[in-house]
Amino acid sequence: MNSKLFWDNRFITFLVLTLVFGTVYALNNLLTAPLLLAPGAHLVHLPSGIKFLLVLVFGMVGALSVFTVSLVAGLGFFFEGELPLSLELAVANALAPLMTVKFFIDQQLVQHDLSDLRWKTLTIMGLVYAALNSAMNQLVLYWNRVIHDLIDGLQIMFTGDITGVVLVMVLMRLAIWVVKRKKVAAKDHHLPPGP
Amino acid sequence: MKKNYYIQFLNLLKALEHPPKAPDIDVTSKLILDEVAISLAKGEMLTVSDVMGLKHIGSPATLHRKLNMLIASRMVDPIFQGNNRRTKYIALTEEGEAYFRRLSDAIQMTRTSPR
Repeated sequence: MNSKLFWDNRFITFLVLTLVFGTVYALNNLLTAPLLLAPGAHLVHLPSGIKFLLVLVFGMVGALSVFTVSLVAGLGFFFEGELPLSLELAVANALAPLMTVKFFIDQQLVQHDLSDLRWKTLTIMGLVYAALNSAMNQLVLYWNRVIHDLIDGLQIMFTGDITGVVLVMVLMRLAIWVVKRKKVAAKDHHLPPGP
Repeated sequence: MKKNYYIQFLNLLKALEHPPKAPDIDVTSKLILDEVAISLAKGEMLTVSDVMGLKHIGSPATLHRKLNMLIASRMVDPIFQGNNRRTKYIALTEEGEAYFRRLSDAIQMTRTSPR
């Protein structure tokens, strides 16, 4: 696919993000099913980290993708046929990262183009997002009487979100490091042999 | 203005990369810092007067200003030794040592990178 189309066309961006995020979400839920300790609360939840970074980079389009995937997952798998609950959860899932990013930009803790984003700010944002995301999701579930122990659900989901955010950030850092090493190796390969 | 996702993505990668903080020092200050480190490697310590005498780097006024900049950026620390309160020696701070360690590691990495 033409990469320019992905970066420039909002609809294509939305489509690709939704497909990629949906796949990661489904895979994570399949592979970490034993770690689902409470409804909606995984002990390790990689999609939480991806969700946060998606909205951080793609803003509203990223949030729309998150909303779509959450709605489909809710209606199709977790809460079949329960439209109001699935809608509420989808809104919570999309709003949590969006509100976090908006707060940091509004408070001028980070520029809208992320040009002054630093590792420290990113970590604090991740923490705020994890707290907000778990609080909003668990409150919706508690409100709808899906869970009865709010504190327990909050603790598990917050842990899952934090591990998810940290793991995704570490994995991305690792990927950057690997790509850079390969680039350096490729450059060295073109050099004439030393004396 | 329309958001540029690609630029935002690149900025995110930059933040994730978390490069070691480079000291905010100019070339003249860097030359002074090098002299301080070279002396320390030889087991000697430069005094403030020694730094003022590095005429091949700059005039005493410039050297004084740049040395103050190095102190402000916490790369070096003026210290007294023993009971002698008249002579100030220039020592590398932990940050200064870390800076040279990073440079050394970078050279090692270049040497060991596969051809």
